[in-house]
Amino acid sequence: MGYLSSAVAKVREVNHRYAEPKIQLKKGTKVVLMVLRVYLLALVGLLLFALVSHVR
Amino acid sequence: MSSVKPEPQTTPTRAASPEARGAEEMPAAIGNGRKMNEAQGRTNQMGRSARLYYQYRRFRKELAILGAVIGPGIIVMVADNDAGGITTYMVTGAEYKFSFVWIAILLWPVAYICQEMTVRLGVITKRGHAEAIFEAFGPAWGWFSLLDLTLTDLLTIVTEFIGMTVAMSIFGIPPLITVVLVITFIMVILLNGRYWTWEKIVLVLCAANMIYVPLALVVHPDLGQLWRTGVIPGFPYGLGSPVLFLIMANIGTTIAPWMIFFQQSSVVDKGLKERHIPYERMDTAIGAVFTVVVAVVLIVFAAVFFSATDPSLPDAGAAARLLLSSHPYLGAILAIGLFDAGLLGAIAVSLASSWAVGEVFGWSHSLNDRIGQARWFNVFRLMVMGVAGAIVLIPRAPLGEITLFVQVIAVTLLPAALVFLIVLLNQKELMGKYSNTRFQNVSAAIIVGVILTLSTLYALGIVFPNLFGG
Repeated sequence: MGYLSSAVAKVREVNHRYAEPKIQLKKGTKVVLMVLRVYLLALVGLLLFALVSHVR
Repeated sequence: MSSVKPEPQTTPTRAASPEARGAEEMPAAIGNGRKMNEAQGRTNQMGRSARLYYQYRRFRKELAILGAVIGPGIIVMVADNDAGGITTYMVTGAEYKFSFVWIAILLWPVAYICQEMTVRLGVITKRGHAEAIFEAFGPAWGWFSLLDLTLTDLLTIVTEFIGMTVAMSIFGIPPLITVVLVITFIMVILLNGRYWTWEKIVLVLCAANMIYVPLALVVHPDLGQLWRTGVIPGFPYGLGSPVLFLIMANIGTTIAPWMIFFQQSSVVDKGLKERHIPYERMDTAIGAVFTVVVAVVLIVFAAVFFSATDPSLPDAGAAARLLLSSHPYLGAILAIGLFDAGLLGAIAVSLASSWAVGEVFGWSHSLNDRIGQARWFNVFRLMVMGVAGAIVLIPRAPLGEITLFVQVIAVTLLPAALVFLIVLLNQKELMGKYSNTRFQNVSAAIIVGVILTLSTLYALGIVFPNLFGG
């Protein structure tokens, strides 16, 4: 429990340290980047599905 | 944090202007044409000698600086020919003969373009890639990148251990012993607490990776056929899902997200400065040549040796076992090379994620720190390797399939890392004269586009298996 709370505190500290990004992305760019990331994760999910099917 | 050895003075002193020194001897010959010509000839000769000497001295100094800077580029590129890479090349050659040699050659500029950007970014920002992303884009994007990296790195280290355990089992060493010995070795080479020592040891392992090169000479490939069916681009086997899968695996084994993080952190930890950028570029280019040479050699070797008899080769370990019965020396070379490749990969990939996590959490994370000083950095590294080693010890795991799939997963996630890299390299206020040129942006964008297209085509092939006739 103590370890978990210190880990959470560390993550908060990191979030606080980098709270002010140096590069301000436009909203459109943020959306495109997010869509790209979600798309890539979906592709990875599909790959894992293919691996499991292949192994079975 | 160490710095690069003191850069030798490159400004010429005594030999600054040989013509001027030669000209001092001229007055004695004035008024005498013959003597003047002789003096002129002597002057020219002295000027030439001095110039040659100056150029020689300058070349030696350049070499000395290159020798001091060289390391991160060669290590990242040769470690890229890791256990997963060796398996990928062998399977590619056995299944599709020489057909993918041109793809391996084409991956030289691709690897160079991606890695060269990390050199500039690391040198100018003095930040590892993870820290640079957190600083530039904020924590949300930072955590995404770090999570991607940690997961793909863990999977990649699994493939390294697969390669090493398979290779050592050929010599009768049980997997558990291999895993324990390898993790111990990787931690022990850090004991000295000096980046330089670590780098030299790893460069020796990189040299050992060249053990594969003689294989190409042994098999005597038909060079005409190699040129026609391998070097000239084409898709003689179509573009069905299995072909796309192997193309992606080949790309994934040559450029991967861990490489971006590794080289940038390595350049920072080594303390390279702006003036070292040209040398580090050369280091990267030389490393990329080594990568491609080994890739081509292994594809050609597998094509000649296995395509007729064992086209469905599952992995490099199986290839080594098959060879041991007919050609014991070749089998042993393949197994030793596979172990070395896995070891190099495990060293580099585990460092990439440990550096990244260390940078973000603010832990001491330099290879110049003693093990106890960089406690959490080393604990994290040990943990990642321990988990990967444990996965490999699971009995009857489909190791060959896992190895190839990990390469494909790595390349699928690569565009996310590349996009951030391109955005960072276009920040004029951050990068100054080292921001990307239009050519570099177009090249990088083409790489991202090709990877995205291939991933999408492959995904479509999974969802609609008959879409590409295969």
